[in-house]
Amino acid sequence: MENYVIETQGLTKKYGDKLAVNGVNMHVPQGSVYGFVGENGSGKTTIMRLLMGLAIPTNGRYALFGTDSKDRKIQEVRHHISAIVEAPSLVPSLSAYDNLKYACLYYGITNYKEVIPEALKNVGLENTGKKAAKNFSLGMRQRLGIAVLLLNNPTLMLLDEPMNGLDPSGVAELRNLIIDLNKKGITFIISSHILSELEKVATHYGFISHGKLIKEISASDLALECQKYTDLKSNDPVTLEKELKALGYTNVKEFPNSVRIYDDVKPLELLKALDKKGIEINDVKTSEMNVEDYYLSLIGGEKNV
Amino acid sequence: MFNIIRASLFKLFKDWTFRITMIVGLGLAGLLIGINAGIGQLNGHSMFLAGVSPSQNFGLTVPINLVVFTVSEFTFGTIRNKIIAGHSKFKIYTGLFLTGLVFTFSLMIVYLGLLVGISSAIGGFNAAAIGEGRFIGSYLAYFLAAYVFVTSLSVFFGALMRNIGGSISISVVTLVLLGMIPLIITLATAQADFTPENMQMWINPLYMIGFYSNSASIFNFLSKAGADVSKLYYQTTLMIIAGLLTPLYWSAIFFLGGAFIFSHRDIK
Repeated sequence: MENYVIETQGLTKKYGDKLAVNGVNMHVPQGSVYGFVGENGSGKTTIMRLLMGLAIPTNGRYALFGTDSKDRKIQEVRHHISAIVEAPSLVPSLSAYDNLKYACLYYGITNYKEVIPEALKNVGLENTGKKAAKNFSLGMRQRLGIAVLLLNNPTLMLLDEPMNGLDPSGVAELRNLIIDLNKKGITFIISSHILSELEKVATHYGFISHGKLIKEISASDLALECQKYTDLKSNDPVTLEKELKALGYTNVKEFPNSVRIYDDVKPLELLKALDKKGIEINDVKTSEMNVEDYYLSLIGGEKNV
Repeated sequence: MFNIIRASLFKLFKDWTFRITMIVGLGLAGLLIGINAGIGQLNGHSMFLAGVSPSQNFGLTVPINLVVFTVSEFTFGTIRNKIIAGHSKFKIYTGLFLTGLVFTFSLMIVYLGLLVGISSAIGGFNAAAIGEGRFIGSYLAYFLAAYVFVTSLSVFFGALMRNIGGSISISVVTLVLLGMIPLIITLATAQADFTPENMQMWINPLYMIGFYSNSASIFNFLSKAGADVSKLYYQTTLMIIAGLLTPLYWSAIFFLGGAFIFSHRDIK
């Protein structure tokens, strides 16, 4: 049986009449990099805020490392968790060193004189001197935010859009850092719009749309599901889907202007067969799905984003 | 809790607003000493009265600075880090309040200490009457209690509104209202034996440092410079209790109310 560092049961958050998170049952395995995928406003950040204690659930519960959210011990458990939710939280007027010292003080780290230079070196900010964080580039601020997170040797890290604003080398650095830390046993939950990057690190995925967690899947199972598919463009996808099923294709999905077949297809034979039935096909394209396609197929195409 | 306070104090002492306010305080103390020395009225007693008078010390700069400090925790997002690090919201709020007290008291103690210390060294203390010790002691206590209230109020609005302009405005409006409520009640009930003055004592937390005035507190707080010193020596025990109790019960209301609301609200 898998060991979960985070488990939620019917986690729900309402803001007035708006249901931001709707009965989410989430399972984050220990040692995983859990990619959180969803459109803007789908509820990813709200779920992270709920898990971090920044927001209070309207309904449902969650457990961190097996400790229930309503248990008093949850505060102790949080000592092993770090998070960047929305943006790194830094004091703009303070230098990188002083920002880390500030964090060391509230974490209760007493040997900060040894810890801080090491942390600065780890994120490549050791030569920033007295320069205030407000004068840092976005990438530097992001790296300083990560250095703050690592101070308390977390076993779980939540990163909300960590690659936002980073240049390609910054993205690569962050990716390598995540992979290294994951190898050391740190579990990650990462939400990102840069799905191509997420694919390089994620071991598990949670797909969310309109506040609902629609699917959880491991990266290996996802690879199986993202098998080759064939898209047939048509002005009448409804009839096309019906005819394809009549022809014996079982794994067929209708999109606004096309139909996707996940079964093995011989395009020429298929086109001939459809032509006989009087079905006009505008275009045929065979490809493999990536995470983005998979997500879109889950939510029923781009119209629902 | 200790870790939160240490961290907040570190941030406070690194804060330029705090440093500049301290420097302005020292400058203001020097200026007052200079002016009074120039007109030949420099002594510890008069400088003490000047120092505890809100119009001649920092007055509204204290709540303004406290609101700015408190709101910055939200605008920078550092309050989120403390919650994520596993500190309870109650402890975080208490940490904000205690840091606010350190800010207020360090400002006032440095200012008042310099003012009274230097002026006494130059012109002597010049104790005016029998009972001076009781007067100075009680007045210092009113002064400290009043600023505990100002701190509690500022942190309450800063933490709950998370907006500098709005928090400052509502803090000032509240100070005005607390001075006006007794007057309004009296006018409404028209009870002759329950005068605005004795009602103010139990309702207005800044009343006793407002030098026995019938006017609304904010005007004392901002502009009442002189003191009818002779009146101050006729304090009844009830007045002393009211002078201490009123700001402290208001402080408790704002502190506990603020901590409760803060603990039950989402942090953005």
